[in-house]
Amino acid sequence: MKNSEWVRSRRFGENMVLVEWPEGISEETTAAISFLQRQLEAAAIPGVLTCYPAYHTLAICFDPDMISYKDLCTQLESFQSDPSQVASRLWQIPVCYQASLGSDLSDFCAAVRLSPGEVIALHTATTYTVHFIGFLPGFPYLGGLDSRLHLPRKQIPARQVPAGSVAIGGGQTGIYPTSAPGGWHIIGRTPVSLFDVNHEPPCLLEVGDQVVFKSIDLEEYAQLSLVPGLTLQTSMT
Amino acid sequence: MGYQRYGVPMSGPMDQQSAGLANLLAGNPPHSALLEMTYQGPTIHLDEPAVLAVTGAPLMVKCGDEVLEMNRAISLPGNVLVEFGPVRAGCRAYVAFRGGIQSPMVLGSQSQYAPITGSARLEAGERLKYFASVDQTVKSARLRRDNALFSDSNLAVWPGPDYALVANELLQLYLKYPLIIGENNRMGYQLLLDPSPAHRYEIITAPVQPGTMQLTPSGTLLALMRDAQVTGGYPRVFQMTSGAINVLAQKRSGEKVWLKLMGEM
Repeated sequence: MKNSEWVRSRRFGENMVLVEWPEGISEETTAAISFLQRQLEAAAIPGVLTCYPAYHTLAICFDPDMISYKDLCTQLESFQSDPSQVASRLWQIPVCYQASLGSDLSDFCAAVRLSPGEVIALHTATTYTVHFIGFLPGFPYLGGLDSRLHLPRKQIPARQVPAGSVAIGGGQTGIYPTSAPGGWHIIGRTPVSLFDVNHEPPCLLEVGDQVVFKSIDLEEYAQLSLVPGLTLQTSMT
Repeated sequence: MGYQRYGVPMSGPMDQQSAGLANLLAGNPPHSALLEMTYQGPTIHLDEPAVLAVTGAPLMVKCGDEVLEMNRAISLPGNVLVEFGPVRAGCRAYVAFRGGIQSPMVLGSQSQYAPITGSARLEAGERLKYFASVDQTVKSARLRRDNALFSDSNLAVWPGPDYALVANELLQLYLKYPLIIGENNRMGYQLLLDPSPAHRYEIITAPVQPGTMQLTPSGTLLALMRDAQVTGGYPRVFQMTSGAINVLAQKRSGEKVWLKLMGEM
């Protein structure tokens, strides 16, 4: 059973189909999900409304008055499941890892027994995969966090995590696009906006994209904070 | 619709049956923006004449001394106050204005959902736009309120995607005994068994939708509603029918519901 091939599709409520891959978190599966999502968009099947992913599932919303569940499943069979070379985008996200912006940084360093410099080096060395966006508008689930930076979530979540906070929870790292309660360890903050309703699409990150963090100082953080809208740097891989 | 992949829920009216009826009576296309009132309604001042319809949970509607009927189109003159009283039964009532409420469209929707729209609810003093409408020939058709929506305590559910992961003996408890409604809001309703069976089942984060019932570690069943997040890490043991979501949307804390398992779709 290859991680890139889906194993089944089944109905979820009146108007959703779940396409499921082997259970687990894998870059091959995320690439395959991204590929199917793009094929569905390109095909523009009447009655297929939208789709959204998680780790090993793609949920497809459809209008049962326009296309039947059976017909949709038949159509799904015709899509390729093995992406050869899907171009994904690489985003560079500037982060200021200072105690004033990352309120849990020193506690986190103490818990994982590394200096702030070592934590920053490890956090910025990895190229992360965007597995999907969920939990909050624009909140990316990023895969690939170095195991030396893994730390279970806080017992008592913070009532208000500031927007732009870069955080670690369990074996995952992510960014809070908006202020929200949260139990992850906040180690820094990005001055750039990840979610903007006035932009189409409102979020730049998509399933299958890649992300690197770049450490910036307080001065650059202040300068970048003044730039409005979605302004991530990107390059094609 | 269309922004779930960015983590944005569909939102929209909690009781889609009553909201749909309000729009129908007001002569609106389906899904026109309307007001949702939870437990109590506001007093509103109409600057201009309006045609409106009130549906959902029964409550007192008055214009001056005149008591207005629910579940029919009503034509009102301009420069009047309309008072909506507290809900007598159920939870949510709807007011549709002919032509729809003209509020800003954000991400293809006129729903309010913090943090996307500035606020999650209307506050005193806010002004909303509607189309002035004078209709001399408003039909006096009345629709009898679907009482089943308010008197029914059964929630029709299908097995959810993770039904087979959980021991059948545990699932049967939720199908055999009444569930008590705990805390609830537009994101979800807590449904409690007494005693609550704790367990260790979990899944890696998967897609969910309104109507999905998640089995949380304490044994509380969390029934996701219109503002729920689009992915979740608790087992999805049941999925409500669209009718069941509307029934639950009219329930209050402390009430009891029974799950009724449907066969294959």
